[in-house]
Amino acid sequence: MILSAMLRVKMAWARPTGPRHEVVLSSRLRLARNLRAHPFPPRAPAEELKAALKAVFKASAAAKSLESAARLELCEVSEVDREFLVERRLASRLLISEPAHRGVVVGEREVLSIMVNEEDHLRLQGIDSGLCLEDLLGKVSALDDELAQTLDLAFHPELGFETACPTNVGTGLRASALVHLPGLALSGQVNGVLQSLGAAGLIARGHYGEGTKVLGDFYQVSNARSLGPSEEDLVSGVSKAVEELVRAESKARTELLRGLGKSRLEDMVFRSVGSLEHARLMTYEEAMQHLSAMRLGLSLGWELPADLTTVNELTVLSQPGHVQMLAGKELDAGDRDFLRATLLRGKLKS
Amino acid sequence: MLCARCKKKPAQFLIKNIVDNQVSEAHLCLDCAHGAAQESVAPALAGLLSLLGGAAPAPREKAPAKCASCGLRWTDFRKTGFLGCPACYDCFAVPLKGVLQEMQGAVRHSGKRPARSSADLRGRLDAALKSENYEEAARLRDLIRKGRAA
Repeated sequence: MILSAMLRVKMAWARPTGPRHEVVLSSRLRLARNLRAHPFPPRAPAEELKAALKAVFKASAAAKSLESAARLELCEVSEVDREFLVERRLASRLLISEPAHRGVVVGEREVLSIMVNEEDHLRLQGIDSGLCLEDLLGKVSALDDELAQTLDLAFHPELGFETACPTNVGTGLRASALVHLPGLALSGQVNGVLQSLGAAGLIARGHYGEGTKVLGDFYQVSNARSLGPSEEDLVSGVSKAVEELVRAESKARTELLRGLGKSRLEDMVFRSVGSLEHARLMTYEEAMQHLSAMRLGLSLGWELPADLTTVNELTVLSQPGHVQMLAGKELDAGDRDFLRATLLRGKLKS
Repeated sequence: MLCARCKKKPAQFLIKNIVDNQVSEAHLCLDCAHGAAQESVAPALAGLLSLLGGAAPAPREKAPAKCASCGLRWTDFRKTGFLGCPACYDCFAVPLKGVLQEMQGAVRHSGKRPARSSADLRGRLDAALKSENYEEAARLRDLIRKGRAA
C-alpha cells in the first residue's frame, strides 16, 4: 500500500457530519486484547512478537469487518510514513518508537483499525465523526468477536481480558471523544469544567494523548477505569459527560456573543482568518490556534472563506508528517512552515 | 543505579515519556517518578505508581517470587507497571487484587467474554485429544462448559 494515496482519501472522522460535530470532532473506542500463547509485548522477545504479528495479520485477513484492509509492517515503511500514521491516529508514538515486529491494519475509510504489538498484542480501534461511541462499540465489538473465532485471546474468568498493564484489564476498553472547547477556554472555565470530570470517573487530556500539548483548545475526554462496569455502561458514562460538555460549551459560546464580547470574538476570529490567508510561514501550533478560531466562527454561523469540512481537513493536513508527505520528502522545520502556509493560503482561497 | 533526576535516591522506576514527538526514558526514584507522572498529565500512571510505591497491600507473604510461565518477578512489575504474560494474573493474584481494588475500584469483570463458537472449541478439543495434549484439552473442555453456563 502506498501511504501517500491515503492523503487523497478523506478519513471518516474528519468529516463534520456526526452527532454534535460543532463541539465533538470525533469519537474513538479501543479494545485491548492479547494472545494467550505469547508474553505481553513489553516483555516479549523478537520471535514471540513476530509470531503474534503473523497471527494477527492472518486473523484480520479473514475478518469481514476488515475486508479490503491494508496491513503494514512498521519496519517496512519510512520514518515519514510512520509519523503520518500517528497523525492519522492509526498508530501511537509508543508503537512507532520500536518499529520491528510492529504493525497496523487499516480498514476502509480508516474507521476500523488494529495496532499490533503496542503495549498489548492487539489494540482494536474505531474512530468516526462526532459523538458516536455507542455505534463504535458495536463495530469494534463485532470485529473483536470475529477475531476471537480464530485467535485464542487471553481471558481470565474473574478479571476479564488480560492486558500488559492492569490499568486496562477487564473490558480493555477506552472510549474517548475529541472535543473543541474554545468557548469554555475563552471564558476561563475550561480547567474547572475538565476537573469536575474526574469525579465522574473520567480523564481529560490534550489533543493526541499523554504528554502532548493542548493544541487549539482540543481536548480528549475518556473513561479512567476499565474493570467493573460493562462495556455499555462505560461508554454510556463517557457519552453522558460529553453531552454535558457540549451543553456547557454551547452556553459559553452564546454568552461570549453578548455586548462587547462579540466584537472581541469577531476580532480574534477575523485576525486568524487574515493570518491563514496571508502568512508566508506558519508553525503547526500557530495553524492550530487559527484553525480553532475559524472553527468557532463557523459554528456561530459566520460567513468565512472556508467551510467546516475544509477546516477539519486542514487541522489534519497541517501536521508535520502530512506536510512532508505532501512534499514527498523529509523537510526541515523552516521548509515545513513555508509549505504549510502555502497550503493554508491555497485552501482558503479555493 | 541512582535516580536520574535527584541523583540522591536509588532509581526504582523506568519512566517512558512522550513529549513533543520525542520518546524519552529515565530511571527515577519513587518521589521523582511521582512528580514526573503528575507533570505528564497521566492520572492512571500516577495512581499506579502511588499504589506500587507502598500504598498497596504488601505482596510478600503470599505471592510467589516469580511467574512460573514468563519469569517476571513482582519487583519487575513494581518497576515498570507491566505484567509479563497472561499467567502473571494467576501467579500474582493475591497482590494484584489489592492493586486492582485501589486502582479500578473493582476486582470482577462484568462485561463481554471472548466470542468463541462452540463448534470451533469442540474442533480444537478433538485436535488436542488426538495429539495427546491433555492440558490444553482440559482447558478447552472448561471453556466449553463455561460457554454453556453463560
